[in-house]
Amino acid sequence: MASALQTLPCFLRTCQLSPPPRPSISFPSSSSSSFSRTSQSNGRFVSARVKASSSSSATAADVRELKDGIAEFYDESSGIWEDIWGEHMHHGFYDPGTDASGSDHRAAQIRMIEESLRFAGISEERAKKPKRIVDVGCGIGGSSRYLAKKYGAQCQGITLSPVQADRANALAEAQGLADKVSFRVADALNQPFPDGQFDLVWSMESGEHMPDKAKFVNELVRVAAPGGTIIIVTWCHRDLGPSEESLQPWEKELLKRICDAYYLPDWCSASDYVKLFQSLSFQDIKTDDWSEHVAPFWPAVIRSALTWKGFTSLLRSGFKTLRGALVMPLMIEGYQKGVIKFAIITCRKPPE
Amino acid sequence: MRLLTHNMLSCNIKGVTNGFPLRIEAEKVVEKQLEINHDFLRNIFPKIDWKAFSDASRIMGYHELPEEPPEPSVLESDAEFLGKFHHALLELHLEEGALICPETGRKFPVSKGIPNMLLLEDEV
Repeated sequence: MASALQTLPCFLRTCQLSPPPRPSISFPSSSSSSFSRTSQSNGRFVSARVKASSSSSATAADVRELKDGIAEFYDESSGIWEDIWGEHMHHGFYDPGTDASGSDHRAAQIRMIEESLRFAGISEERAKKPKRIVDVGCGIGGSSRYLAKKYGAQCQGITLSPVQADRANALAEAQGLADKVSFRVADALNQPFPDGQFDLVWSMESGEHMPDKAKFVNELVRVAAPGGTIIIVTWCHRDLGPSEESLQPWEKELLKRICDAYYLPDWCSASDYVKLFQSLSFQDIKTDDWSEHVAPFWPAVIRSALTWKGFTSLLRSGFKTLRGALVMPLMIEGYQKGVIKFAIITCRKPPE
Repeated sequence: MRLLTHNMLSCNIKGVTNGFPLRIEAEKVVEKQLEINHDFLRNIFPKIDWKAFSDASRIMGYHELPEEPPEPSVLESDAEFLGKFHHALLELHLEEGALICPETGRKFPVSKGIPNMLLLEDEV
């Protein structure tokens, strides 16, 4: 099995398709609007300035191609993921130092949701618990259904993938949650909801797909109700040092190879997100690095790919899925070398 | 797509100020039974834009809802009304059709019950 997998990268190198051009992140440029509003965060006054991106901004065609790529990737890959890993398309949360083998990964994925809610301080009290939730980048709706069931809340999910939306709705019907959750094809950067709709805005491992982080955050903020909570759990690169303008070339090269396979635009750091929220006067901005809590995940995914079922399913699914699978060791390398961080960022929108 | 969902969707094409409610073009409406939950209906009632909801229900072929929203006390006592509310909100599904922006006329297709709200480049 392992030797067969080793020959595949050779096959891929000879028939390399040109990767899609990646849009760079665009932050508000410092010439037009320097966000230096002071905001109160955890009792300290912090003055924030959002750094402008030094690279060129994405063309509309680049973004279109990225979104099509994302939709096609998940249209192609969702089925096989669900088959082997179930309805949650996100990392599991483990105690540090846990071994991948013998871990209950599906329980770990549930724990990831619970730990995120706990970190954000979401109340389970009847009066304070969330009643309207949006799941941004909902996959096949695992989080939506879990949250709707947990809080008895209404949950709307959006995804770029029609196959995922369809599957998410079907699973909701099957689980008797059809009155509480619904899913549609929509763009996280242009959410089809009026302002201030949701008391919990949930983005579980979808932020890494967003080509314009500032616009992404602005949309999350727009649809959040006053006093509502935003939770982002996402892949980031490490925070830059005080004298650094960007990552080292070898780090960028590593991320580039991952981006091509997973249809990701340029990465940002967790503190980039924090600065965006600070510039919008948000309260209780919290962030943490959970990289050590997700370490067993990628080895476990690789192991599942190398089972007979995993391997044959991969060969059947298509080029995009296969390429995604082959890039998994790079995720492990990225985490081990401290380039990739698994981050949570939460905050509360000021009440009216 | 249920009318519960329709009541939460709006068009956010750049520059549009009046993107709610989306007008429904119904090609195929399907009825799917769902167990009624009175508490849920009472909780969701204050959040529903009634005019948009009752107009939409008529387009979907259901004419039993009043045009004006009832008093909340009706939901406590009137089982027949609750049944109609439940049916229109949760049991009518737009399988095929479109949602139309009231300001620009832009059509968002609904296919297999799933609305596609993706905007084009020039609408963003």
